[in-house]
Amino acid sequence: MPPTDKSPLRQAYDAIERRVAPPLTDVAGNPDAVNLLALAGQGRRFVGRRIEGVATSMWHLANLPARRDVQRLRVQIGQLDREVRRLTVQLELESERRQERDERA
Amino acid sequence: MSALDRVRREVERNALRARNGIKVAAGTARPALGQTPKDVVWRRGRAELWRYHSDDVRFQPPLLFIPSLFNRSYILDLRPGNSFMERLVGAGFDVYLLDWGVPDVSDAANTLEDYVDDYIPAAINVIRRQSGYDQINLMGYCFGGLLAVLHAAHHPDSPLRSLTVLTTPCDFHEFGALGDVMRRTRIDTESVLDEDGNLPARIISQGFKSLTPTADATRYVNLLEKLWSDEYVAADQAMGGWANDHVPLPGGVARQLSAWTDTNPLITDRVFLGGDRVHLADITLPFLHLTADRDHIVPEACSAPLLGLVGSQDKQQLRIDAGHVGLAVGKSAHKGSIPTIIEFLKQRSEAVAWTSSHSKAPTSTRSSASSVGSPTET
Repeated sequence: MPPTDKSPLRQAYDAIERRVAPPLTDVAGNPDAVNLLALAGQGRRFVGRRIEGVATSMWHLANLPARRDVQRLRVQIGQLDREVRRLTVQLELESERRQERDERA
Repeated sequence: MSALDRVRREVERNALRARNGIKVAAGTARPALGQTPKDVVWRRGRAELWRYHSDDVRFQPPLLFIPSLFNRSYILDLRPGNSFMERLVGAGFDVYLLDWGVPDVSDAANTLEDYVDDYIPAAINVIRRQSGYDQINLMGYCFGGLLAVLHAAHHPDSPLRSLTVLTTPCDFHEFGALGDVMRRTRIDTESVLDEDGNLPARIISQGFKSLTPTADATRYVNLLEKLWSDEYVAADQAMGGWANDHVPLPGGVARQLSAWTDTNPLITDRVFLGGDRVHLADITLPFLHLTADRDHIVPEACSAPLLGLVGSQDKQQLRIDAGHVGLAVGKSAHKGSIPTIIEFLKQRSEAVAWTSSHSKAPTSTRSSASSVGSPTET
């Protein structure tokens, strides 16, 4: 075996890493494991939505907007913002093209 | 080295380890990032167009860099002395970068068309107006390369002089472990989007980390070993910080890419953007593609077919001995990819006699680089 200047701690880590990395990589890339994780995530979100649904009803009983209502508004404003942004960019592009055409004429 | 010298060295190193260990633990060891001076010259939504200061522009037309949508752009301007942007500016180019910022709920519906057909053309127009040059050199890194390629293909009349891309994904069936998982698990994209409608940064980060599950542990062991070196600690904090600093991906783009992992449209020539069929063969510009032979994120099998799909006569693809990020930072970038790119661009640019004075940037919306601050704040 060739001599090495690695510390004993480093040699120990490298030996463990060499053994552990391949099975870990296999697990991380295993579709069943990923599906299981996704399923767990979906379950967590489902429970979260149920709890939020109850909280929303309570806020609505008090005639107040709930988090879900605010979020819905944020999404709608976001969609509007995007539309305006796209229109602005397209207007800028069109005005640039018109200017170029005028300069050529 | 005598035994006494070794003991003395270890004592000194232990003192440095203790000091740097405290700095790392306290979070103060992270160096300033993205320090090359620049101005914000245009802004729409979260996107900003940055122009890097230069008093010594020797080549024209200007260069527009398109970063990836998945991470922060400061990887391209990591630290003084290890910065892609700094090298390009130093080589005499007038350099612009289109930073995408951090997508929020307003960007959830963004699709590839938003970037390819709106933002990039708008940025090109701003650059032409500012520089007075009719054409620009376009460059993209990773997914930014894909946006640049799609723009060039969808807009053959775009005023581009050349197109340079780095490790740009093309064959979506060859995305390695990540692609396999995406195809075989059939996870519904909608189920992983957050309440803003974007793919959360946390999930993107987990996806990349799953490719090398022990990488974080190895990083910490390396850091522990070299904690005495200020230079190593600074480099580790900069790179490690960036690697954990992903941004959300707009939901619209996530849906499109998810479909692309099935249909593989670039390879099958079935790309549709804004209702138009787009052919990569319509790209006839001088074209350079750099691939990395140790790239575990966009494997060579995924990026390499791009050259054959592009219609250019003047086209070349070079394989660099590097990993994915190694094309942009570190020794492999500074000795391999960056000099190659600079040479390619110089040959396709004109040498100019005048000296730029845009360090004053009278048209900028902000007046100094310090006002941009660290890109992490964008």
